[in-house]
Amino acid sequence: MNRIQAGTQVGGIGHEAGEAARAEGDRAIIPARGLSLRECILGVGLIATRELGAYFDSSIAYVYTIAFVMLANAIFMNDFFLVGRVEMTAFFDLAPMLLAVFLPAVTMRLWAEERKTRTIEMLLTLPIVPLQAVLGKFVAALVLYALFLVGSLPIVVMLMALGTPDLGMIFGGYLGLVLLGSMFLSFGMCASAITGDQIIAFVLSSVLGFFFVLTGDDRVTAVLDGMAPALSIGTVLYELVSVVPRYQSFVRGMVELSSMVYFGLMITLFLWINGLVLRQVRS
Amino acid sequence: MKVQQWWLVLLLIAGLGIAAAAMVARVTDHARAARIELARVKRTVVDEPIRERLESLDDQVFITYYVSQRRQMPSHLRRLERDVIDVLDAMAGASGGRLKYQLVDPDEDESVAKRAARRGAAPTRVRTVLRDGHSEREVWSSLVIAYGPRPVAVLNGIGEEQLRHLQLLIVAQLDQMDQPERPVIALAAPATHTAVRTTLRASGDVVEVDLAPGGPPIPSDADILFWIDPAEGDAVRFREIDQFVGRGGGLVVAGSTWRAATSLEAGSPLVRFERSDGGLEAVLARYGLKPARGLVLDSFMDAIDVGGAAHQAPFVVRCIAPNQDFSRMRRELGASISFATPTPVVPDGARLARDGWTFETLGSTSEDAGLIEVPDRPVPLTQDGWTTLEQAEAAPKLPLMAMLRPHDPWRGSIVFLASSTPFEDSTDTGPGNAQQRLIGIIIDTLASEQRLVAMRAAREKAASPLPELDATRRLWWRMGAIGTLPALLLAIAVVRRSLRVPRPSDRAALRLARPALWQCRTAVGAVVGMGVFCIGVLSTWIGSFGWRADLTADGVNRLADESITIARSVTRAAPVHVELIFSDGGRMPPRMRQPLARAEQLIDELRHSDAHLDISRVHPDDVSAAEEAALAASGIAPFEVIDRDEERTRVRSIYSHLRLRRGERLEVLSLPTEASFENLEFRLAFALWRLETGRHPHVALASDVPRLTPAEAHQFYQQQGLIAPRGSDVYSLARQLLVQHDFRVTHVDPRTPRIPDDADLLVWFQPRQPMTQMMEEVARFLHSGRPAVIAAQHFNMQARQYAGRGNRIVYWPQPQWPELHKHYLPQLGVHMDRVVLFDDLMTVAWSESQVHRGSQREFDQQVSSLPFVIRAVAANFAADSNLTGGLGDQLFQWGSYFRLDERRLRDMDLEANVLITTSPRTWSFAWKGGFLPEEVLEGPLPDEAGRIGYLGRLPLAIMMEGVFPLWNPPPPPPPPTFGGTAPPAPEQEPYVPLDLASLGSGLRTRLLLIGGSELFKDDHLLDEKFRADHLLLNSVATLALHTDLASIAGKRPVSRGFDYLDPSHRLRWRIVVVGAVPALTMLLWIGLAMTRRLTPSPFALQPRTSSTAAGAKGAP
Repeated sequence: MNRIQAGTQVGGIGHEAGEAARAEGDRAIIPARGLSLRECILGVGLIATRELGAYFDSSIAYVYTIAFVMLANAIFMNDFFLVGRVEMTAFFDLAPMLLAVFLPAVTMRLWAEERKTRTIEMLLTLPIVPLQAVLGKFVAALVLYALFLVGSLPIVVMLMALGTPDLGMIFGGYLGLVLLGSMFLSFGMCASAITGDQIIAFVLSSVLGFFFVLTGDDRVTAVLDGMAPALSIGTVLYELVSVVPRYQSFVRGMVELSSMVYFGLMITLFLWINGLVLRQVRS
Repeated sequence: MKVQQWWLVLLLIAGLGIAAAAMVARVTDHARAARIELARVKRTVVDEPIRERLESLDDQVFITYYVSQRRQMPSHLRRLERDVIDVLDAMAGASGGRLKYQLVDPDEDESVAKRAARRGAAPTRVRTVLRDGHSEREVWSSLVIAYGPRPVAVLNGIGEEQLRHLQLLIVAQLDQMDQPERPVIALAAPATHTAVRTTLRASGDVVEVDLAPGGPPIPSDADILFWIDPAEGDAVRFREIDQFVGRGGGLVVAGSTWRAATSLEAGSPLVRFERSDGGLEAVLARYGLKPARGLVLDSFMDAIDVGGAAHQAPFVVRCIAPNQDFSRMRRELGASISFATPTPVVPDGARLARDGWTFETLGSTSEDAGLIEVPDRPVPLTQDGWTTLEQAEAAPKLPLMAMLRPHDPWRGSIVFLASSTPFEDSTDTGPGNAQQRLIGIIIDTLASEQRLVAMRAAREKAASPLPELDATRRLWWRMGAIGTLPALLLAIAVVRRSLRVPRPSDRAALRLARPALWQCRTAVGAVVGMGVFCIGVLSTWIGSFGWRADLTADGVNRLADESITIARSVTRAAPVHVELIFSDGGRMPPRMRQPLARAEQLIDELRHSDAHLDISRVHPDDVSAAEEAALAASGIAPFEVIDRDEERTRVRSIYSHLRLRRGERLEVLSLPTEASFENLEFRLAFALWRLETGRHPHVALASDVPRLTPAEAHQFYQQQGLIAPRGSDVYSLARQLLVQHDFRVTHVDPRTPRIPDDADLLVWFQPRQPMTQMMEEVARFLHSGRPAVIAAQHFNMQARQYAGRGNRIVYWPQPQWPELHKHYLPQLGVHMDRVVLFDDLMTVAWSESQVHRGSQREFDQQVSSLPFVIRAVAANFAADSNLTGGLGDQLFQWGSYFRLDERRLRDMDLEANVLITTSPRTWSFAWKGGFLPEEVLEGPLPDEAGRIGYLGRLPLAIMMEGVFPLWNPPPPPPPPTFGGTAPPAPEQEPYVPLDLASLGSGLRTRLLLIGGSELFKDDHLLDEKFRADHLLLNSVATLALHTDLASIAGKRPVSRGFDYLDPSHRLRWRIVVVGAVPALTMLLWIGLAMTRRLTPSPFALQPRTSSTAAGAKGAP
């Protein structure tokens, strides 16, 4: 029977986990499968807290946030007063390319480092299912990414001070960025889990990120279409695979069910694969 | 040493190291010996051929480099002086003392500047960014080459682009000074053109070329290419011609899409029109031009000979001297020239601007020209036959000769002639005739000495062009370039893995692990691929249901309520049949596929909004000949679209139409380009409204052509015995825009105004003196309760450079004489002050600079960013008007403002609402003559009391509403008397401008006044940053249609600008946006680090020990 004593201190996992599990009283024995929602959230929260600790106790969160915010905001501000428009489109257009580099840098260490330091074995012996560990790390990375986005809020404040921006459109853009970033994080984590090497994980997820972005570029689409006009490969990739048309609909202030489904399923797919890989590792 | 101290020392060392490295780099930068150039064309290393040439110079060469000081230069030109000196230094060193140079800063002394100007050097305007705002500066960077006793040569505007091959440029210039070369002319023309060959041989060395697919390439030494009656070209040819023009070659294209064949039947002359078998449309499309549809007729016509008798033929258009403007060429043509069945070109302003071309009309039809459908059967050539001009749709001043001038000085220019007639043998080809003069001017302009020198240099530096490859070979090269190294590395990895001999202890583990690992990764790859594809398909399928929410404030992503109301109203009694007539997706150009999908979605949404629409699809590519004819009968014919994929240019024939039918009424919407889908919701709603009402709004569009002032005409033409040009039509795109949006448009000549009785709206672009007759008509039109739009400005600013002024740029406001400050408007209570308006809220725009070198005028395209290039931002638009809805910022280049006399307006019972204003930082200058004083460009001048102040927000567009009285034009002035005593003037009643008695019989209407006409000209109408077409469409829809349709017309996503912000505020915002969050993050970091010293980390889950790796890895 695959059961673990919940209150057991294991590896780097803190005593809060034990406390939480003990608070369950008569349900101290937690099955690895068939978790209740609360237990599932507790497990996810536990891992997320641990990861956030890793981010904020080290310099990772600060360096990444400062670098991303300075770079993105400075590029946006370079032309802002010359263009003189109360809108964030330039920021939202720039963001996918920046995220294709920055987010893999966040996710590359998530599993690869656990493997390198061999803490993954300890992690997988915890009273949680692999998916909880995956979700926990995903939530932590998402919180860090949210901090990146919060760093661009001074732009919104400035726009509101200077004129009357279309806040609905800006909100749509941020929603698109959250979903786009979540997708990048999910496949970045997946790459980290599969490869087990930080550099390979970074390169692989960056390449995948650029693939999803560049297949939405008109010039790339035109060239791919031109290579085999009958097949229209560029158009097929643009319409079925690329993240750009979905993301752009958010930037235009439109929330489409199809885009939500696309992002939701993509995130789910990569997180699920990540969980599968972990299960494979554990077994 | 403490950790903090260690960090401090490390930082100090790093800082010092960087500073030292920068210093060393700066020092070695000056040492040419410490530089290795590996490129084929070297900047500072003199190649052997150039060295030999310099050593063999016959005379001493002395080069003077006129350059502004480094601190005067904009950022991107700061290194220029040093780089040019490096080149000159290298050449001087290699010349064995035959070449010397000196540096002169003309800004140091006025006399130096004047001397430089007399030698032909001229400063150029460059755009700079000053404290986050647009600014411009005048800088010098010219080389004057003196070579023995020969006349000096000047290379103006030396920049980074010229620097790359400056050595070659100087040597080519020396060669040209030594032994002037004749241009090499490549000629591709039918063999029947013999006279043109003779004429060309007189001007240069002629080389016959065959531009048919598969023919030999254009000779590499050709300087100019004449392509007469262009045949069908292929991708290879187009690419070759692009390269030819790219390296500075001049291109002349002459041809027409129609040709006329005459015959004599039963003694009566007949003419039949046939389509030319040529590739003219593809050539035009390549350069952002379209052929005008239809057959051009003009009252200025030539006779043709049929059966030995001469018959006047209005399709043989005579382009007379007043309809020519060769000021941008080397000299004026000064002779009439005929064009049989011409195909005038229509410029695509936005595309030309994007591709870096300026369109200039060299010759046009007269103001009495028109267009008719090309007859599909022989027609008699008689006075009262079909050729009467009354049948033609007025289309004045269509371009018959045009030139595309490149913004990049290294590219060649292109001249288009609307027909090959000027080059035919039948044209008068005697000595000094029009054909000879035309060819001479074209060659002298397109292959001028300066141009030949640049081409010689460009030819040397040009990288070898890629050979033409077929699709398969391109694919192989692409795969090779992308995949070779990865494939090689993969192969190495596989070989290494297979050769590796594992340790015995690992063998068992590997045997088990490897298949599992491979299986796992392969499975993951497969799942990811399949998953991504399935998700794409699923989301696309879900997208077809159109479930979405619109977050925008203006609801630009959903159907307007007004559209739904109109659709329901129209379809209440009877359904509307909507036919989607689009070619198959594969045939449509890629750029049109997405707008098409959106159009289908829009129609589907309309259907789901309780509107009774029956939607069906017609597959026009599969229809029979009879069905095709039926389509053509309802005005649906295929469009030819040209697009490029990779290196190929494809000309496709596609259908892209919507046909709406309700009972007997039929409306067809043509959607030939992706831009035509932009206002589709409006067009659909408008079409539905037309189906219901049966009305077709009619717009009368009056526009005069820009003309020279009498002083300019005298100075530049009449003194030289030439006829000053009358100008060309500069509002053709505005007219087209309204036609494309399904309005009926009639041209009105303001000189002889005849406004159609059924016109719903009058649009008058730039009134010009004499305008009283038209003004009287406008007042009558308004009095009858019909609305009007008047767009006018007092001045067009001309930048000029005169040698006598050291070629410094001065600005001359060219009066446009709208006379609105005198007639009608002041009496109504609206004043349009005749002053030059300035605003600190400015932007950047291309404008022309006239460089006067002796009697010769040269025109340079330069960017301008001075306070008369006014940017009207959306923040200063009225919020409650349909007219400003969906309107982005507008460019009021050299615009004028209005001043309202509230009391007078009240007396006249007129309302005036301000729709667009300037920023509060405005000032004006009451110009009476001469150039603008420099100080007025800096800010407001002190008034008589010595006070300096801004004028505040000034109206740029106002909407007047009320009953407008009739207007009496002023009586003509008494005739001048010369000597003697003037006879006593007859007793006259005092002049009363307004007929106030007419107010009782008048109807209420609206008059829109816009303080700028430049924005509606072809050059600016479709500017991507300032969409004046949106302003025009909104204006017309607001005034000519009912409120619902006007509201739909203004529904589009736009970018809105903000008001003027002073530099200190801009800096503060920049600091806040870029620095606030990083600074806070840094503070948090430091705060947490300090807290951790005192207490455990707030994130710590347990006390860290060496054994808890997970916790330990987060430790700083």
